[in-house]
Amino acid sequence: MKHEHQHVTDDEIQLHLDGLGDPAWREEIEARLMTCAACARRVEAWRAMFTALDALPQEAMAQALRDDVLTQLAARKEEAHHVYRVLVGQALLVVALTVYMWLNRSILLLSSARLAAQLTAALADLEVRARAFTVPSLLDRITLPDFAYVVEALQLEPFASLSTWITVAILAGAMLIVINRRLLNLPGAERS
Amino acid sequence: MPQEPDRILLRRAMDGDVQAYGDIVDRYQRLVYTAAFRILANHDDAQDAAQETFVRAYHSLDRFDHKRPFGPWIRRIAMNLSLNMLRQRRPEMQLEEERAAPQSQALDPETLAIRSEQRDFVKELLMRLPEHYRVAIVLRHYNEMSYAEMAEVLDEPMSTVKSNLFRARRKLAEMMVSHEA
Repeated sequence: MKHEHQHVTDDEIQLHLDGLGDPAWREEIEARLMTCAACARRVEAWRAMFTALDALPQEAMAQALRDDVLTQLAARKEEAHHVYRVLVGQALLVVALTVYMWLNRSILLLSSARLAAQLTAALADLEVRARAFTVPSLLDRITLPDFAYVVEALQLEPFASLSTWITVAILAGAMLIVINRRLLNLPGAERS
Repeated sequence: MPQEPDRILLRRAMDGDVQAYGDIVDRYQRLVYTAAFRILANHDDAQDAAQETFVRAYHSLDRFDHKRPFGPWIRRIAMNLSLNMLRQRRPEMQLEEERAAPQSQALDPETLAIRSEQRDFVKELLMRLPEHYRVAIVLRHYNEMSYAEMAEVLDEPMSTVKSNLFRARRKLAEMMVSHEA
């Protein structure tokens, strides 16, 4: 019985030259190459192409990169310094504001109490005027308990505690950092 | 005067000596530029990519393993950066019209034979290949990546990577044959 030789395909040659395929398959391919001069010539032609691709000459450059790279590095360093100066300034501002508010908390609390009193007086005045002009619909909408709630909320009692102030300062600082990282594109926000 | 080893220059660069890093740039700029150009196929883009590669590498020097050679590391950065630029330039890298089925006939070995002086010609033909074919060849032959590494970098199945690579080489061979004819 005549055994017809089957030529290796281009895909088989490429796989073989890439060094892939299981050992049994590779042995079979090599055996076929030993017995077929045409297949062997094609493999050598493909091998030459692989060699050429593996050893392509490097590209010529229009201009050297050294100066541009060093200029870029200096510019980005200056930019980073600027950003950190802004951040430190903001942090100091937050701390200063917190300390100031803490030291003056009694005034703030007093102010809020004074504001509450003013609001209550304004409400009373409004009520008197509304009655004078007999506008029932306005009276229906504005009621004392609503204002009382607002006034109570403005007492700012929790702010009498130092830990609350510190927490607020930390949260404000963290928020500023997060915002700044986004807005100023700080180093470290993007990784190569 | 003998050149200072990379290790020394990089250590000095990490200590803030930018001129030492400048020497590194001089030493590796062609490698980096070539890696970028092979993927981007555009001199201006390659110049930008190469510059950005060196800037990013400088800021990542603390993550470089100094026991390993610097060339492959920075070439990898250049390659990733260039691939990103390529994706931004043309989001759909896989052009369907370029995905022609491979021809069944075998290539003529005599016309495919490449002499060493023809390497510039191969380089020129490589730049004329469709993007996804060119990238496949560059990653495999210039960046010496395995199929698995290529699949990871390109975010494609290994079968697609292999298929593209085979078709790319075949297309290149066909271009050479048609040019010879």
